[in-house]
Amino acid sequence: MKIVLLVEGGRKAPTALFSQSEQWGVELRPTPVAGTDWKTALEDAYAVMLLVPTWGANAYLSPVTLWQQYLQMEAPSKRLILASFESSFQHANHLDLLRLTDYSAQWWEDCQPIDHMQELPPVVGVDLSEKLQRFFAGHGQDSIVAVLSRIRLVVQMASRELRKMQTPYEEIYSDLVEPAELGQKWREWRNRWINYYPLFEHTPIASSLKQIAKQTDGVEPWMAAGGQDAAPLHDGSILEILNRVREQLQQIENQYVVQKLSHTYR
Amino acid sequence: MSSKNYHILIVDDDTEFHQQIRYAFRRQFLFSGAVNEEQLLQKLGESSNFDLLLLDLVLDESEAKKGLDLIPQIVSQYPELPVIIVTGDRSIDTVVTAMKLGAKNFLVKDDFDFDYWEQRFTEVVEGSKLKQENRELRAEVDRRRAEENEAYPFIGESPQIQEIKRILKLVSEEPDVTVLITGETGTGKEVAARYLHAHGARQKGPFQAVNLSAIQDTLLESTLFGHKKGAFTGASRDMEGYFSQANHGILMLDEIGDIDHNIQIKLLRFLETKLIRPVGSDQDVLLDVQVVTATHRDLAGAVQEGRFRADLFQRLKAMVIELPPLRARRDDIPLLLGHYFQEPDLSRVMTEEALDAMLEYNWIGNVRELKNAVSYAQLRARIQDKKLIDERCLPAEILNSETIIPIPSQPAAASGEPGPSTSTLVTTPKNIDEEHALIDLDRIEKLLIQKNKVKKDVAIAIGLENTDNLRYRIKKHFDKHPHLFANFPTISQSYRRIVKL
Repeated sequence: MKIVLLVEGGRKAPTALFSQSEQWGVELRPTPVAGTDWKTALEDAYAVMLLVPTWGANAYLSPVTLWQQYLQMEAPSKRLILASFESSFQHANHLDLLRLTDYSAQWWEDCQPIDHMQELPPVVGVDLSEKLQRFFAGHGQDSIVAVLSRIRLVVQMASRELRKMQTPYEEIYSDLVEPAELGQKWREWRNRWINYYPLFEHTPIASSLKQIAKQTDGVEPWMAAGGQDAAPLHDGSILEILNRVREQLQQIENQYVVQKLSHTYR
Repeated sequence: MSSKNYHILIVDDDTEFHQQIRYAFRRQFLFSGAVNEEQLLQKLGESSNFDLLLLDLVLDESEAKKGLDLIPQIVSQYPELPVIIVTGDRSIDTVVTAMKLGAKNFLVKDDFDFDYWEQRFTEVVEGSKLKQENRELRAEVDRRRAEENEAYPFIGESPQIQEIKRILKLVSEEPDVTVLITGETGTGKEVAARYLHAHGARQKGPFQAVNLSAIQDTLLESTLFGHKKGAFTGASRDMEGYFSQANHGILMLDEIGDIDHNIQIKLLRFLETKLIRPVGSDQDVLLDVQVVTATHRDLAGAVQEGRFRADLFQRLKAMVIELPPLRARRDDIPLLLGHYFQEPDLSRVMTEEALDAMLEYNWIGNVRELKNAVSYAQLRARIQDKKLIDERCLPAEILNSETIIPIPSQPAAASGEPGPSTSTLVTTPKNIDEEHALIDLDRIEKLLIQKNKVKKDVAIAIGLENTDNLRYRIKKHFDKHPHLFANFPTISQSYRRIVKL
């Protein structure tokens, strides 16, 4: 039996797909990607099947490019199968859910591994690779990282002043933290996060984003209070969390965005 | 931590960033700010005291990287102001473009790290200042070199000097040819070499002149080629020689006829290979030095006598320039006097009689003697409180120059030494060379008496650099004309060893 990880993408796969799969010698395993177990499961899998377009944030989404990039880097011999109701979608790895009986076990054999995959035609739905670029690099209202980096800059400066220079926090607060309006910046960050986060729920970066969300919960009270409390700066906990978040974001950026764009965030 | 208080101009449309950077680095740097191109140009126009420019690439709400367009303008108009890009854009193409346009460094705001940024700011400022200092030092070296060349002007408009200047200019276009300058002592051999340096391809390089006869034989090799620490007793550190110091420039070796065979071999090796080997080293050093040699000796004669290597002589005489004695170009004397008196109108500094005496004098010490005579006359005029230099201010030998045939200056009985028999005294010279020797020795004899036998003072009065040169000059005359010594009892007493030879 060929094991195939099924990413349903906020929708329910038709039951016929499961029954038909058995006839092809394929074991379809519905796989939630918000955790990290699926990465281990992928090792034994023959393919990843995406039910496209996915559904999230009240919109149809296309995570295909992100999955393609992920598999290219992590498992280039695996297949990426796109299952949809779009009969007009022509590709060797496209499974038309309206014509399941037309496929055979041989079709699965003939599917192209990711490192030999023909170029995919556009898939219906918002292209999430483009959204990810905006997540990192968008100017003005778009970039989430821009807001976070401005917060981190202030926290790093304040933390250094407090710990290394032993400047009284009242002075640091009045000269640096308060004018930076961290509370407002943090709200801005949360708002933008809420806009982006659900978009990537069915993508390979979902688990990383979930971890980031958990970590940022830890700084929420301090940020919401505008950074009035010196203690988390003194023990370095705030900066540590922001640095971890930054590190994880950089990892995502390096994997999916860097070198592909000239982007600007301020 | 830096405490240099370098003045940094931040250019960023994000005023909050200005405030944060100022706060973070308030102990290390002074800051001024501009939020757009207009303000930037205004600030730069108002003050040239900025040490560093931190430039953001995006300077308004558009995504356009206007900062990139500003870099070439700033670099060309303010070449001493280094630019660091501080931006949110980390893409490689932007970094490469900014650096190619002349930015010194590129910092990404998201990667802010206090220590790293402070280090970069300081490094760039100090690197730029170092370059600026180097430029200033270079300019200072050029200025001093020009001053030095001005201090050794090649004065003369006589046909002989004009021709020599023309030849020197032609030779100066050949930066590798070895030049041999000949001429009597004081004719200006070093001045000619400096003229060659000032007008040639090596004018930006150093000019080193060394009088080989003034250096002890045992020290000559290390003085010329340098030595390694421990090469000999007293060599407590590595030392560069004149050759290394003259790298990319000109080395003038004066009195080349006086060097021994060992140095002759090493000099020949350098001329053939451009390699030297410092004393005590096992490594050759490749140098780019044009060698100019000078001598008042007859090198061809020295070759025939076996005192000078024929192969080295052949090398040295690739280009020979002979400087005429001053007495052969008397037309230049007023020009030289005008130069040394710093007054072209000689009637304002000296009487006609004094000028005539100087024009008629033989100047055996050539230009150097004339220069010393000017200093002497100026001093005498001051002592005698005279506005114009008259004959009484001139050195005695100029006034007595008509005395061709020397007479013993003091009776033998008075000196307590056996005097020469009058029958041995030469009164009529046999040839021009003997006549010159008589004139020269007579002058030295008189000066020895005048200067209480202080040889150093005599050497200076004649225009010689040191007493070795004076001794050499006397010895040269007596070598050629040993029968003359009876005419000069004071010289005989002062230079017994020479006279006894």
